[in-house]
Amino acid sequence: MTCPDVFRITDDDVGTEVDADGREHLGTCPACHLDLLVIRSAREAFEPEPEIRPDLDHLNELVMRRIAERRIQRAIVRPADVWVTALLGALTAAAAILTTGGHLQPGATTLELTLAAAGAGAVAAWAHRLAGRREHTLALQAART
Amino acid sequence: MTGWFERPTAAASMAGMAHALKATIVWTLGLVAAIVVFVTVAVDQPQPWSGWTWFAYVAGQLGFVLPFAAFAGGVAIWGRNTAVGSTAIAVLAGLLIGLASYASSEVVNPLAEYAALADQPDVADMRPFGPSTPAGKLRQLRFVDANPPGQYRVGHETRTPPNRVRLLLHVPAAFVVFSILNCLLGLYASRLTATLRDASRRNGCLAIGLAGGLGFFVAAYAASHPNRDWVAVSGVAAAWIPLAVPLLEAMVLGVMIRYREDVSVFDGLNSRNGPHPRGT
Repeated sequence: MTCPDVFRITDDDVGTEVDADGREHLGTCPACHLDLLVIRSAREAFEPEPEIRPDLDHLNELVMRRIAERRIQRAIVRPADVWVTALLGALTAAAAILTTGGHLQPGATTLELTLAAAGAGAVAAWAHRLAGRREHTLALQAART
Repeated sequence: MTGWFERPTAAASMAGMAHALKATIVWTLGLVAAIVVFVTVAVDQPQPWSGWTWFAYVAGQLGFVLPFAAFAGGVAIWGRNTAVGSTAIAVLAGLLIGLASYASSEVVNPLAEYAALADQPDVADMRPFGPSTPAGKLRQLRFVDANPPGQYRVGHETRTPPNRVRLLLHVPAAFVVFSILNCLLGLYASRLTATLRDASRRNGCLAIGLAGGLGFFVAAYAASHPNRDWVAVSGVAAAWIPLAVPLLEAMVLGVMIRYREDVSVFDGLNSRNGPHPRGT
């Protein structure tokens, strides 16, 4: 017979139904019985003492709050970021047009190329702001929950 | 740290691949739209564009832009899914993007271009080997190898130097490999900038992608320039050597990531507190 997953059939796992077959197997299989003893010992060893439990909960809350604050800070988009994105977007569009030979063909002027690049840069900056707002909203939602 | 080439789960692969393809498609469509609008509005056309001409042009641009946009795909993989197997997902996504690029530029574009010429009376003289698909280029290569002209001339179908035809056959395949490398570069850039603010990270990745793409383009342009002596220059080497640029970039980024993420053995030996992750 194949041994079941001892983690899944211990009573310590909250919400897990232990069927009669599982109990019977733990009573008869020495290897699984030893596994069960090891798991329970490990859980007892890592379980905090009741008197320090509030301090640990408080520490946990502080850490989680710090993580949420950090995530909100990371999501902020500064004006300089948007300008850099606009410049990079414009350069990318200009490079794409230049590399495909668009400006070399008759009729196209440098002014038109500049206008096209500026338009692409504006779109990139707008997309960057949108992405930043979405991330900021997500970070705020995560902090509230 | 996450392994460099670990086997991803099926669900992680699908999610990573979907993010990569979505980001690549968004960037490709944006850049192709910019190019097509610019050319339609600003460039004088000798004759009004027919449906086939327009289709061929868009397919050609898609085929050209897709390998460069693969970088965005790599960035999206690490941005959404930092689980194991990101490298494998990036390689698969890059391969898919590269094959799509190959199909677009080497099959759809030449067939549409040929269809646009179909109603012209001298189409047999203009395209004696049919559409310039890989099969058409092979026919051309066999012909110019078997019938060397008195003087070679780039741009003339029956007098093109064989090395030039070999270049045109190999460049699209080199672009497939570039797609894979560029997707990996996007992944590495995203991984390297993981500790920055989100806005700085986006800008950093964009700058790295732009610089890498331009570097490869300049190398490929210089290597495959029509004015080179194509009787003496190897077309196969000219097609593949520019890949040294993204390879070198991948090596540099890889070393930087290793430096930031790995546990330094020497620090561990020298430090009293034992080994510790660097740069975190």
